[in-house]
Order: sequence, then structure tokens, then C-alpha cells
Amino acid sequence: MGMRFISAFVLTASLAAAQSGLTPPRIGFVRDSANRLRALLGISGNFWMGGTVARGVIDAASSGRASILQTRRGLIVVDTAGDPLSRPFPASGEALFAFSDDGSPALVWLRESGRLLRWTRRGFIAVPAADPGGSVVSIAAPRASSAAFLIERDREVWRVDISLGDGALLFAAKLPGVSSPALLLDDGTLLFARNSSLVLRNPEGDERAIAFDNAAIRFAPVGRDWILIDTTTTTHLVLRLSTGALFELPESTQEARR
Amino acid sequence: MIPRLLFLTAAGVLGAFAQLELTLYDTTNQTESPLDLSQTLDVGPAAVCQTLTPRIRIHNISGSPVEIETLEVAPLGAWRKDSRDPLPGSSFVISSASFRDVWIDFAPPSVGTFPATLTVNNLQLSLTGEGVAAPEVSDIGGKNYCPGDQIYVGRTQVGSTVQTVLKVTNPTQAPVPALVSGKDFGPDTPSTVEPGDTQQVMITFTPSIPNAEMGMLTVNGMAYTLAGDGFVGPLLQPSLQFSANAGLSSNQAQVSIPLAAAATATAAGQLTLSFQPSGTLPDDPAILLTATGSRTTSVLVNPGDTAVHFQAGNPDHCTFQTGTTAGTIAFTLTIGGVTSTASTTIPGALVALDLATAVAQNGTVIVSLAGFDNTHAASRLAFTFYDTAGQTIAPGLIQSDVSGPFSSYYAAHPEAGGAFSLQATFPVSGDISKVGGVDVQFTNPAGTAMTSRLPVH
Repeated sequence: MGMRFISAFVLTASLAAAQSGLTPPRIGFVRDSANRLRALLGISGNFWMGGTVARGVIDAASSGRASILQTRRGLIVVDTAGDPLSRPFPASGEALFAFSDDGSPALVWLRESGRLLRWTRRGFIAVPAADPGGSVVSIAAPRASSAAFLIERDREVWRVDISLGDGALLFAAKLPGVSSPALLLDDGTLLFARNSSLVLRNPEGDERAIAFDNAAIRFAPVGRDWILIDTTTTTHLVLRLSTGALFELPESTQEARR
Repeated sequence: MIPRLLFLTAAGVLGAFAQLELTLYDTTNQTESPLDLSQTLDVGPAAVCQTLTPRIRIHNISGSPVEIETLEVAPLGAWRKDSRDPLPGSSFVISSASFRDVWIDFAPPSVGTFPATLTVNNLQLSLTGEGVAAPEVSDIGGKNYCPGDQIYVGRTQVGSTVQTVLKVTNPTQAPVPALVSGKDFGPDTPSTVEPGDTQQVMITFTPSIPNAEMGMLTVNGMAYTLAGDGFVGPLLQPSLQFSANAGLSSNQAQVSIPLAAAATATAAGQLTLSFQPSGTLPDDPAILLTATGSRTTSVLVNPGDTAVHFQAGNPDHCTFQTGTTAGTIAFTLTIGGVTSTASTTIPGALVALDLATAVAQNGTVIVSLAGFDNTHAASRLAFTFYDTAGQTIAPGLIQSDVSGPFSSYYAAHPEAGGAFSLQATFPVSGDISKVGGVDVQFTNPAGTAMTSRLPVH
């Protein structure tokens, strides 16, 4: 058939270059209890925190490939190594973040000012007249041309899609059985808590329940396939979406190497 | 008539002056200093909460007994008569050429100057004192303590520890030392509260005898009495129990500590984790208690408890990471004079992958693997690629001795334990879209692990 792998030595050469081929497994970045952005390393059931890449972090989310953080200095995007990809963008207050399917930064919703920002090669730019019409619970970027919001209105959660071009309303639908806090993933999957479970509902409406004996107050992506769950206790949990496994994040007590 | 009456009154007053004389008695040097009633007696600065007690001596310098009908200090508040002095309304007599001592307490309630007047019959002595900033001691319930006060640490079984948290606030401009003394009281090491700071001091009491015991907290030279009660009771009988996954690497397992019988007293203690790696393997820092991010946590039992409770995280059980290195994880519980241990051994295991993907990209297939090798001794990594029809693609098995790269990696990243992530890149000649899947084999001393076939996306 004429197709073959050129050589086994390529593998050997790649592994020998340990700096690139063999590294500690890196999940993404997470805001710790001291409001520092720390690298989150490890695999299922075995986590540790890396070095601090930013302090004074108000909100943060990570796709694994990139992270967006709201700091006292403004919005910052950092790469997988924690190095900034942009100058701080002036913004204040709590923020919600969304990433594209490939993990690149996509959208930011600024709660205080009710502004929607989109990430471009030149940095963040404001989306004109973007008003989802309710208290924003979560934001996602299912397509390059639109933003998808979960909003809470009269104790009901709705999905509202808005055009990034002109802020026009594209779609709105009530989501029965969904309550805040909730997270909308870029593929349309919903994550929310119900009774003693976390529920993952795919766009077709199929649900997977994960036993959960805590009270969630916030969900935030901290890596590809990983969601941080802040609870009403001091315990921080991480959920692996693909397996539905829940883990406790070790409390960060000390600085570590980056 | 009116001028004459005025003269008589003045004469009577002068007579009283002539009968009595006041001196300040220095208890330490046992000396007396005459007090000039035209001057104000400054008793000196006192820390807020501190009490100064000048001793005033009343001399009867007349030839006959004098009845002291009035002995008072006003205004009250910062000043008061000492409990050794006569009650208001009662009088006493000082014989001729004799004297009587009275004590005046100055206890400033706040920073500031506090004037007062001491009246002895017709004599009036002006007093003043200054309240100055001083370290403050309070408990977490907000109760403030003054030097000399007793602070009750608690009651506990002999050999066990009870503790109480005190807050020491330093409003002064200089560091303030706080030191605990007393045979069964701790901590042994003094702490220092910086100017303007408030620091928590954990006072511990571990009675060695079944009795009431006293200790002392000294803050900037001012002493507070510590008290605790020890008693003999039935010993706790804790047992450490692990969840079923405690013997597997890369797991979050739980340890819980039921008691054979309900506790009869309060006891505080510590649970400590230690790790003994297999053979010459290094320590694995990810083996820790998640609630504290360390290898120790505080535990507690209260009367009636049927299990030891954890003070961080879930009170009923403690989650710990089993890490990614083979070895033995041991727990040592010390509580109520009892030490209990238990361990779980994690044997060397096949390499386990947590993430495995294969992607065709720009004429290459990139295989990404993340997982762990708890032996830290992976020796061989092999790949077999298949086309979309399931046929093996030449050259068939592609294998590599990876012991060198892994050895270097573990030496460079001790924080990772046996966890790793790698990317292997395979240049492909021909139509890369025909590459359908790949099998991965990973060999370490425990054997060879094989993945189920990874689809190439």
C-alpha cells in the first residue's frame, strides 16, 4: 500500500529530548485559596500544584491550552507555560470565560459592566449591544460567530445565543430542570447540580448523574476535560468530564516549582 | 455676726488639718514620703488592664484619737478603694501618734489620663494616673483577660491534649513576646507578636497527672494564669480503617477512625502520614492528605463520639492521595494518650495510562500518553500502527528502550512521583489518512501493559 512509518528512531530521538517529549502531566491552571494562579499538574487521583504565575486573581478559567484570568490589573491571557499572551485588558469585577473547541481563548463576560468581550489576534475587543437579558450563569463559544449564555430569569435557566457580529439574539430556550450554578460547555453539554448529584446533560438531552454529596457554588474549567467545583465547604473538587470521576484538589499550602 | 461665723468654720477646718498627715508608703523599700496636699500625686502609667495600688498611710499627729468618718476616692471607674479598705459608711479610729494604711486601686479601662480625689475626713489629695496601650489577650469567644486573670484551658484525660486558642493583640510600637510555662502546658516555643499585629496562640494542656494544674502565659512580662484539669478515664481504642482503593496508586483513598467504645472525654490529637518507598525509590510528595495539603492533620473526639473526627475537610474521613510510587503508606494516630498505627502497601504495578490519544497532523502521527509507572523503571515502549482496514502498517512493531529518558526524567522531576506525560511523533510516508489506529505497549518490572487500540483522529 506504500504507506509506512519512516523510522523507530524518531521516537527514540523524541523521548531523548526530555524537555519536549517527556514532562510532568499538566492539566491547566487553577486559582488557589490565596487568589494565586497556579499550574495544576497530575493525572486522575494524583494532583499537585505548580508555581504561581499570577497573584491577585479574581476569576480564572483554563482550557489546558490557554487560560484567561481576571486580576486586579485587568484581564490577562496566558499560555500553557503561564506566560502572558497579551497586555492586561482594563476590566474589573467578576468575569466568566469561554474557550473555543481547540482550547484557544474565546469570550469573556464581565458581570459588573454587563459587557461581552471576544478574543482576537489583537487582544480583547467588545461585542456591541450584547445583552442576553438576564443574570448570566455561564458562557460558551460553540461557534466562532456566536456566544451562548446560560442566564437565570425568574428562577429559571435559559440558554440564549447571541451573534458576535451585531449582538443580535439568535436563539433562546428555557432549560427545564436546570438550576444555577450551571456550566455550558462548548459542545452544548450542560453541567449542573440536582439533589445529591451532578448532572451532565448532552445536547440531545441524555443525562448522566454523578453522586455528589456537596453543595456546588461555582463551576469553572481548569483544563481540557477538567472542571473545578467550588463548594460551600473549604473543599475544592475537580470533575473529569470524560469519566465522571470526582476528586479532591489538595489544599495548596506552599509554593512549588513552576 | 456673719463675719464671726465664717472665722469659726475656718478654724475648725484648720484643726482637722492639724490632726492628720498623709504619706505614701513604698512597700518595696519600706519608706514613707510625705504627701503635699497642694500637689497632685501621680501614681504613674499603668497598662490598660493593669492595676496599680498605691499605699497611703494616714498618721494621727494630734494628741488624741481621731475618728476617720470619710474615706473615699472619686470619681470611680479607673479608681476605686481596694478591697482591704473599710466599706463605705463605716468609720474607724486612729489612736494618737498612730497610723492606718489604706490602698487605692488604679486600673485604667482605656488609654488616657484619669484624675481623681482621695478624701480623708477634711483632707483632699488630688490623684492622677495614665492608662497606656498594652498587649491584649482574649479568647476566640471575645472574652478579654487582664494580667492575673485565670484562663481555663479545659479538662481532659491524662495523656491526651486539650487546647484553646487565644488572641494576642499588640497595639504598642515594639514586638511583644508571648511565652507559656508550666509543666504540662504548651507550646514550649515562645512566639512574638509584631507591632500592630494580632496573633493566635494555641495553648495546649496535656495533663500528666489526674489533678488540677496551673501554668502561666506571660505576655510582655505580664502574667496570666493558665488552668486545666486532668483525669483518668478509659483509654480510647481507635482503629484506622482504609477504603478499598488504598492499596492502588493514583487513587484518592479515605482513612476513617472508629472507636471501640464511645469517648468519655474530650481529646485532641494528630494523624500523621509517612511514606516508605519501595527499594531505592525516592519519596513521592503527592502522597498527602488533601484537606491540609500536607502529611498531618488535627483530630478530635468529644464525649459520646464513636469515631475520631478530622478538623480539616470532611470530619468523618480523611482523603489521602496514594501517589504514583510503590511503597508503604503508614498512618500514626496519637490521641488521648494512645498511639495507633496502620499501613497500606502499594505494590509495583503495570504502567497505567490516564490519557492516550493519537492524532494525524502534517504528515506525522502524534501519540500523546499521560499516566504513571509506580516502579519508576519503564524499560520499553512499543507501538504498532494499523490501517483503517485493521492491517498492520510497516514496519510493524516500533519499539524503543526508554529506560534512559525515563531515568533522566524522574531525576529531573522528583515532584512528579511516577507520573509522566509524553508525546511520541511518527513521520509517515504515504497517505496518512489511511492510518486507523495504534496499539501501545509499555513495559516495566511488573510486566507489559497494553492499551486497547487507540483510534487515530
